[in-house]
Amino acid sequence: MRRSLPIGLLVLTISSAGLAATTAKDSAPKPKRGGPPAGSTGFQMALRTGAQLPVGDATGEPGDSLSRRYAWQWPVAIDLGAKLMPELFVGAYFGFGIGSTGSDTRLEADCDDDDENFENEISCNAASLKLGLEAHYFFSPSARMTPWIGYGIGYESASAWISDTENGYDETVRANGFTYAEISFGLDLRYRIGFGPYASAAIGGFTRTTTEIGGKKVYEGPIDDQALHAWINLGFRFVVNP
Amino acid sequence: MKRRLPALLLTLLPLLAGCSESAGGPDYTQIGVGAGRAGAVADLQCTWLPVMPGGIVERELELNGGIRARVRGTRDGAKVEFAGVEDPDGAARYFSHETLDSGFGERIDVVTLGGDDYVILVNSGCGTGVTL
Repeated sequence: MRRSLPIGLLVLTISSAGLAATTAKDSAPKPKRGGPPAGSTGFQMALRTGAQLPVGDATGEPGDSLSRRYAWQWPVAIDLGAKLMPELFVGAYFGFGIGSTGSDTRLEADCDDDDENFENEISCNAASLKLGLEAHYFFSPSARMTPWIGYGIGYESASAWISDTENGYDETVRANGFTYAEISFGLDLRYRIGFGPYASAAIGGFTRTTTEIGGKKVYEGPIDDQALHAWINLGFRFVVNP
Repeated sequence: MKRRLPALLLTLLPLLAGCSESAGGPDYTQIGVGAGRAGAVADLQCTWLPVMPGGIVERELELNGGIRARVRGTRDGAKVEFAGVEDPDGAARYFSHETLDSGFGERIDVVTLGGDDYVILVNSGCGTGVTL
């Protein structure tokens, strides 16, 4: 019951914001022709993409850095929620990233396809997933350009896998944990659709890990030696109802 | 363009001749564990070690004579612990990836909780009908 409280609050917040938006739109002064749209309230959605870089440690084991497990990734994320007032957005985020396995030299050698038959019998890939709750503060919500900062918390997961079709072997290692703080900032250019650059650092830690070999789970358990890491995102975002 | 093709093929031929026919891939490592009386024949129970960073395999094995083995492996090596023997700490072993890759085998003499002399064989790779 307790777990559903933040989601309930979020739904309530979004609904009230929608109601507030209707009232606000009726009474708000109309924007100047050709000028930026008035500072909005109510529903807002944003799509973010760019590059996602791993920093810090996957676990406290010596040498187990995040970048050794995962290379940089191509992320796609959605922010969905409502602006309670023109300055404040509250909502949820969901994102995933895809990329290759990291800089570990042994794995790099393992993942090399040595023959020249133009078929990729050995492939190594990685992916990540993030979801959580967030809030953004807009400094100039009615201006053409509005800088903003944000904070979020949530759940995260990252996987890396090898598929060797020649030897009939595949293995997936997944790590799950929490994003303790997703600190973000950006600059939105506000037209009917808003857009602009953003940067974020999702600071978190893995708490559990799973290994599957040949599709069969061979380990699932807690990570004893936990550590902090961050996914640094640099990119662009597009905003509906900026 | 067509005239250039044979020349291009001739240039590439030595390169193609040196190509590997196998895609390669990781050095897959297995650890086999079996137990029985000295001279008996047993099948080794096989565990693949992971190849990915952060990968872990954990298995509980039921061996002969009421001996149980717990294998915890990473891509760097495997730790093998035993239960159902008189000195479990003395029987426990850690084998590095390099050791297992080099074709290693160790016989560990143990006494079961029933007082019988047994041999545990820990081996790189697996096999059936292995003489202990």
